[in-house]
Amino acid sequence: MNTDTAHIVDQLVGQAMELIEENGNSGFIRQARKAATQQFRHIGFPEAGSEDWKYTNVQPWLKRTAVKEVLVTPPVTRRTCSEQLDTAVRIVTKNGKLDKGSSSAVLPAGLHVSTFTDAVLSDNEQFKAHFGTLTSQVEHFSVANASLFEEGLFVYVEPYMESDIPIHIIHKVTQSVPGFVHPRQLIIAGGKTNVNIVETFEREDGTAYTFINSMSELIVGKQAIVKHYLINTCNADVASVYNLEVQTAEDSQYHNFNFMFSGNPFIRNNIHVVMDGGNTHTKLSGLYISGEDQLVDNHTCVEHKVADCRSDEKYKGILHGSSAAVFNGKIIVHPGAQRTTAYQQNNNLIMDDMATVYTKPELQIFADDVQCTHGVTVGEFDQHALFYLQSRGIPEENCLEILMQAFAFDIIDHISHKSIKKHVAQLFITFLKLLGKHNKTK
Amino acid sequence: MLQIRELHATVNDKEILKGLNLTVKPGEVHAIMGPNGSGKSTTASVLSGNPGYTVTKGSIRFYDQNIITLKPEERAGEGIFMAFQYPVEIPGVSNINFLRTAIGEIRAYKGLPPMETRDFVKMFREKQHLLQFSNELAGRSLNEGFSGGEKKRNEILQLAMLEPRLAILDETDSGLDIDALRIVSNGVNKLRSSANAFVLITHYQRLLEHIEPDFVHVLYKGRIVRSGTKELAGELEAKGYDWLKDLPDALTDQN
Repeated sequence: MNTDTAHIVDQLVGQAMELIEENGNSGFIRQARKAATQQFRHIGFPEAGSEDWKYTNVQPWLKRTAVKEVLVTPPVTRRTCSEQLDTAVRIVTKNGKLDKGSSSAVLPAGLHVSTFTDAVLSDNEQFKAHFGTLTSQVEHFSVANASLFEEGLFVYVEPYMESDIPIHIIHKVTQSVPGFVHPRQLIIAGGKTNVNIVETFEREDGTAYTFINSMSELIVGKQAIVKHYLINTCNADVASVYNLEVQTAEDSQYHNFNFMFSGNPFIRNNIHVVMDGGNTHTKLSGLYISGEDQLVDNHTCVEHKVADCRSDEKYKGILHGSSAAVFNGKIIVHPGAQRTTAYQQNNNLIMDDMATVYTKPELQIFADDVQCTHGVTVGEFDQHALFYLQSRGIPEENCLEILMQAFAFDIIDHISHKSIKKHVAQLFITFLKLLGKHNKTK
Repeated sequence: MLQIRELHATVNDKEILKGLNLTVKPGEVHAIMGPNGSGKSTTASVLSGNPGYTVTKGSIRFYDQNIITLKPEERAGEGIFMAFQYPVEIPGVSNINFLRTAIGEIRAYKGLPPMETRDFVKMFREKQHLLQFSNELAGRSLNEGFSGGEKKRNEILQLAMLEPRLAILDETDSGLDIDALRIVSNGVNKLRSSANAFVLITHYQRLLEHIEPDFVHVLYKGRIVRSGTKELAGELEAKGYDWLKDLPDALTDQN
C-alpha cells in the first residue's frame, strides 16, 4: 500500500461506500463492489518502484485529481485529432455513463447495448453469467475501477452475428472539476460472431484535468472473430489507465490493435488476454507515438492456458522529445499448453537524444513442446535512407515523415477493415504532421 | 554547367579529395576512372551533398551558383542526380509513390504545378518500358528485396523520371550482368541530349563500351592525374592502374 497516495485512496473508498449505499437494487453488483472496495482499501495504488511500475510514476497524476485548480487552457503544443470514423454504430459514454441521446438510435439486429443497471433489471442471463468473472483482484487500477465505476456499459453480440459496420464505443470525458472517471465495459461476443469493435477516448474542450481509469472486460465466444481497436487521441490534461481483460474460447480469433496518437502526458495500458480454449489465435498490434515529456506504458500479458494456441504480438513506437516508452510483454505458457506458438516483437525508433525506451520481454514457460520467440529493437533513424530520399528532391522534414510512416506501416497495414484502416492511417498522418509542426516551432 | 575547382573534402577527418578539378559542359559524357580508394565515390557523394562528407577547400559551381552550401534536396531541385552505388532499401515506401513524391517536390522547387496523374502514368509507362522494369517491381517497396541488377535499373528509372541536368552514376556497372548492363546503358544512351550531361564513375572499361564518353579522367589520390578521350580508357584496361604508382610525385602531388 502506497502511503503517499493514502489520502486519495481514503477519499475514493468514501465515494465507493456511497455507491454501495445507492445501489440497493442490484444485489450481486453491490456484493462485487463491496469486495472490490475492501480489496482496494487494502492494496491502494501502486507503490513507486514496484516491479510492474518500475519506470512509471503514476503518483503525480493521481495527486493532481485532488488539486482543485482553476480551469486552464491546455498548452497549445499538445495535440489532438478529431477525425470521425464514417460509418459505424456509435455508442457514446460521458464520464463513464451511457449517453443514449448521442448514441445510434437504431442498432443492427443481434447487437444489444444497455447499462449494467438495465441488464440487472431485465435479469439478463449473459450479464449475470459473465459479470465480474474476469476482473483482476491484484491489479490496482482494475480493483479501483471495480470499486468505483458509477454505471457500466453492457454490450452483447448475439451468436452468429456478422457485421462489417464497426461498433464504435466513444468514451467522452467532460468534467468541469479535476477528478477521476472510471468507465467500465462488459462486452460479450457470442459464438461464431464476426465483429469489429472500436474504442476511442475523447476529451471535450473545457474539461478539467481528468484521470481516466477505464476497464473493459471482453468475452470472445467459440469460433468468434473479434477485432478490437483501441484508439487514444485524447489531448492534454488527461492521464489514462486502460485495463483490458479478454477471455477467448476455443477456435476463436482475437486481434487487438492499440493506437496511441495522443497528447496526454500519461498513458498506461494493461492488456491481459487469456486463451482458454484450444486452437485459438490472439494477435496484439500496438503503435505508439510520443513527444514532449509524455510517458506511454504498455503492459501486455498473454496466457496460453491450453494446448494448440497461437499468439503474435508486435508493438512499435516512435519517440520524440524527452518522452519515454515502457513496454512489458509477458507470455505465460501454462503446464499442458503444448504445441504453443508465441511470437513477440517490440521495435522502437528514437527521434531525439533525450527520448527513452524501457522494454522487457517476460516469458514464463511451463510446457516443453513450445515455440516462443521474442525480439526487441531500439534504433535511431537510418541516415542513409534519409539521404537517399533527400537526394531525390524531398525536403528533410518530409523525408522524416515518410520514414516514420514506413516504420509504422505494417501495423496499420494489418487492419483488414477498409474504412477503419483508412481512418487510422489518416489519424496517424495528421498526428505526425502536428508533431512535425510542433517540433519545428521548438 | 559544372565547374569543380581545387576541391578538398574529408570523411571522418581523413582527406580524400586533394584538389580536384573538373569542368563539364551540357551534352558531354565524362568518365572518371581510377583504382580503389582514389576518391571516385567521394566525388559523387560530395556532388550530391551527402552530409557525411565535408568540403574543406575549393568550390563546386553549377550554372554559376556555388552549391556547396545547398542541401541534398536543393541540389536535386537544381537538377543534380546521383545514381547510388548501393541504393537503400526502404520497406514501407512504395516505389511508385516515392517517384510521384520526388517529382512533385522537384517541380515545386522549380515553381511548377504538380504533374497530372495522367501525365505521370504516361511518362512512367514509357520509362518503365525503356528499363524493362516490371509492374511487380514498381508496386513493391522501394528497392526491398530487389536483386543488385534490379536496384541499378531502378536508379536509372528514377533518373529517367526526374530528368536531371547533370547525372552522376556511381559505379552503376558494378554487380551487373551483361543483360542488365545492356539495359542500363541503353537507357542512359536514350536519355543523352545536348541539354544534359553525365558523369560516369567506374572501375572498369566495360561500361564505356556501351556508353561512349567524350572525356575520360583518371583519378588518383584525390585528384585527376590524366585526362583524355575514350582511348584513354582502353589504355587503362590494357595497362591496369599500377603505372600510376610510378608517376613522378610532381604529377600526383600537384597536377
